[in-house]
Amino acid sequence: MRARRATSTAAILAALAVGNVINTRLDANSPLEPVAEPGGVGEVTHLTYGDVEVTDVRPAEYVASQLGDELASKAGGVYVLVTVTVTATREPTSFLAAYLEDSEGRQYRTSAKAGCAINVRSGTGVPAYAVFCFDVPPDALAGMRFQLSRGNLTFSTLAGDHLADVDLGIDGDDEASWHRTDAVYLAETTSREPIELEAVTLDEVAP
Amino acid sequence: MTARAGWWRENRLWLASLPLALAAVTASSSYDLDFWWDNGLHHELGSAPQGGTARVTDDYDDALGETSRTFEVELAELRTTELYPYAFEEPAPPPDGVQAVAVHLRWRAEPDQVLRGCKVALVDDEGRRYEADSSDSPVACVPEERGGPEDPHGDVGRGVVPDGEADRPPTWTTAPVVLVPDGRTITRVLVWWERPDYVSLSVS
Repeated sequence: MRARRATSTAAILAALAVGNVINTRLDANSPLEPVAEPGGVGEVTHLTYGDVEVTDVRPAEYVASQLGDELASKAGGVYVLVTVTVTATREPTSFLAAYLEDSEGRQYRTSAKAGCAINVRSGTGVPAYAVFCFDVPPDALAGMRFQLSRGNLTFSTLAGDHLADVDLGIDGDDEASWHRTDAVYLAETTSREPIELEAVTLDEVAP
Repeated sequence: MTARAGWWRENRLWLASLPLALAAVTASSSYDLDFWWDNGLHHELGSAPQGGTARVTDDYDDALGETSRTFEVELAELRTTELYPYAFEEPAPPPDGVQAVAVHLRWRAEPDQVLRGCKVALVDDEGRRYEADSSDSPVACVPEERGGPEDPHGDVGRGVVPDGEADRPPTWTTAPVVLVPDGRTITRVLVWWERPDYVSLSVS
């Protein structure tokens, strides 16, 4: 009888230990990581639900509102303007999650003050065009990657989503020159036609 | 009685509760399945071939509780149009490589049925779905400016037609326009209000 009790106690303790390992060491409750699909500028990245192509990347010091120069916003670091074409392939799709990720794994959201796109929606087989603007530290430019996926408005996670992971091709020399950029472009959001960024000259710039 | 038979007898209550525990675990994890089911088009309410009538009663919940809508719908034809009705702009040709397809639907319903706010989509032979944009085709299922009652909201109860609008006629037609890339073979038209329920009209 005593031996059976000892066996049962040992079995219960073993089960608790296994449960503890599953819950802590295996990190079973953390959200699923997205599945990255690597790509480059000028290449179409094929996702399970759509195609993504970065067609242009450039730096800017200012992004000016379409409504007037006086509403131009200056980057805290450097603006990185990413022009993208997306095409849903299975059903109308919103691409809600757009980020830059630097070589140290830090993520940057789209700049709220730049007035560019924050997401883009494509009908099935009908390309949509967008410009995303990010304000990033000048010393984080080299190796920067653009990431775009469907995301999830309800849970704010990427939860195993297929994600376009596009190397923007920014090297150390680019970083040095982009640091000193004085370019100014009109803000663009989304369009059903290809977007050409328009360089402008500001009439008056506050010191 | 052997020791093994004694163990089964001694633990019979725990053993009997095991299936219940398994059911409870499964039920508590079912929200993922609910989320998937409710967000897709998984439940066909009715169907009809092109030129045939689908007679449908759609049970759903509005702000006041359980209710339903009853209507008849028929796919008259799909017709390519030269211009697409872009919202807030003059109608213009669709982008290169894309067609604008008007979905001609015939409807019949009592004027008190709430039919505003539906979605219309085309499905091709590979299961790809092309939707009428709700900004570009805001009245896909009801006549313009005679859409009938709205869903209850705020101080507005059931069955209230907006001020200044006449009652919806008993029969009417609509023609939402859908953008479809060239070369796709459309096999079905889907109409729905709340997922996962939809009506399927096959294309001949």
